[in-house]
Amino acid sequence: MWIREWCCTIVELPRGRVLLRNLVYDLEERRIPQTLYRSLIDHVGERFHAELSAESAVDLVDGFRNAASPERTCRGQGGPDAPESCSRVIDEASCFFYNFRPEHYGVPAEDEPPAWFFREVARRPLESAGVRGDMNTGRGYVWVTPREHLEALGEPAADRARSSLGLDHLRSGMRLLALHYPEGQPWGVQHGPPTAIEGGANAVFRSTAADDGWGRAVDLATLEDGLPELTHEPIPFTDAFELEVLGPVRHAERPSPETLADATAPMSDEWLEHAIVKLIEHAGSAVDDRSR
Amino acid sequence: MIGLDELDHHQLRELLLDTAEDRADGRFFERPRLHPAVELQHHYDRADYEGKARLKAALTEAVAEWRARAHGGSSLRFLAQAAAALRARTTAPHFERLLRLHRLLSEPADSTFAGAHLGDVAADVTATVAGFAPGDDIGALLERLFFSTGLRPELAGVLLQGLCRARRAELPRWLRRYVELVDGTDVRHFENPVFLRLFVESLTPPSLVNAWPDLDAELREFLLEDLSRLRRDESPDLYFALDSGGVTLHVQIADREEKFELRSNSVDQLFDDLSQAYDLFDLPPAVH
Repeated sequence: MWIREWCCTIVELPRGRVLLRNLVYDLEERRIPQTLYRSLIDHVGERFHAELSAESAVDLVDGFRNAASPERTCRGQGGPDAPESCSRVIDEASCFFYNFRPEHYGVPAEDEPPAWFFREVARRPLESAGVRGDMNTGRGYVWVTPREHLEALGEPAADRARSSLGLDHLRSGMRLLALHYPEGQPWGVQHGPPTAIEGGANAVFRSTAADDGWGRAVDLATLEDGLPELTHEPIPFTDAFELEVLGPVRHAERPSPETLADATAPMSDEWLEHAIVKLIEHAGSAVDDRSR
Repeated sequence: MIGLDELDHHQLRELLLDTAEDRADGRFFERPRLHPAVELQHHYDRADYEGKARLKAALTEAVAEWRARAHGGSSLRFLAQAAAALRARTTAPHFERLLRLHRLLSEPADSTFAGAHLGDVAADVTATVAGFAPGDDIGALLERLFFSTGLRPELAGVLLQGLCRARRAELPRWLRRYVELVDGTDVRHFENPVFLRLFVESLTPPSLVNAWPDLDAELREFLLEDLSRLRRDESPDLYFALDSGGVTLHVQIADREEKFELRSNSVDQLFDDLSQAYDLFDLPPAVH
């Protein structure tokens, strides 16, 4: 069956090993709705063939997620029972482009806003006329962490947030912000602990089902569990959010994909066989979706 | 995953035209937590000289070829933000053409343009061309936009900032036009501390002093009312302190030891004194 061939192909890459581990984990923990898993298998099966490179074979999962279908993301089962105040960590330049009106502040657009811009903006409540857009990313879902966990990290805030949330895409020198959500957000929209669908073919993601219902980021310094995290559907970005300046990233450690894969998905022939059987088994027999 | 060097010129241009904030090819834009313009900048930073030139050329061509129906307003927003992130100044004339062709500076901001919010498209494109200042060509372009018929007053602030960077010696002219645009509207850029700080940074204190004699009474009053809001920590190079005894003007010239603290009952007299102080300390008479 093609699933065996696909599995053997993707495990040639560290991020493929991690992806396979996460898929199997989500299936065993019943975190991906069965219908969604079947859609994923259909998508990959239609596109996979023996001549495909390992890179392209791994990317098929991201292609499934990126196919602009909102019903495919934020479907992780078993989210947190008690709503907590949430925060999102983002770099200043992305935040400016997504959510701030240059004409309101009269700020000419450059590669990043002036270093003092967000410090000045954060001195007072956000102005409704100065913000715009959604709390979003280009993929139609957003990663958040409990505010109190973020605030407990201490200094240097940017380095600690980057490391504890596994944000290895943030480079040294980038200035970071925490966007604190208003009370009650984002609990009114679809949300859940991140699964292999959101994590995709990224070696720094590790699907985790903690007792509190949140997932866990991979701490870049220790490769152990980092801060709790979940994903939610886009919501409007309004003046009800609070903005906190975390400062610049100074130490941007970035573990290699091999190191991350060794920590998340140690590989053996027995485990690979187990994974293949698990994927085939779930592809062929529907199980009831666990309700939220 | 696709790297910059795996795409030929045509593919790169098409990829850029097909990208928007909520629509980015995951094989190239693989970091969804970054805005695509920021990720594009990362690709640019990693590229060699030839790769950088190729990316900027492709971006310029993409802007030149952008069509409302074919590509949509959100694509134009991305192209503007990408041009800002890459400092791709060669895109400026094409953006000016699009602003004029589609009347983006004068049509109602809340209307829809090519499937996007017109106000957002206009603001992103205008802020990008303003961010290319200084430079004579950019100054001339910004002047044309600033004096265009029907310019919406909310866009006046970002154009004023760009003009102050590009041709600050003409500050009185820009201010006169700014006041004309916002008069009678609810636009209050100068009440915003962020705007005010940018304004003083763009101008520099010496150029403000030099422009002072050319400002009429209305503009002087307009400026002083707003500049007096500057706090010391917001604008350490130039701030006012008002108290019952009059006005104290504090000026610290960047890279110089001299610090002025001039006090007078009259603000106009303060600026005269400051001009003399500039002469006394042999500071540049004008900053252009």
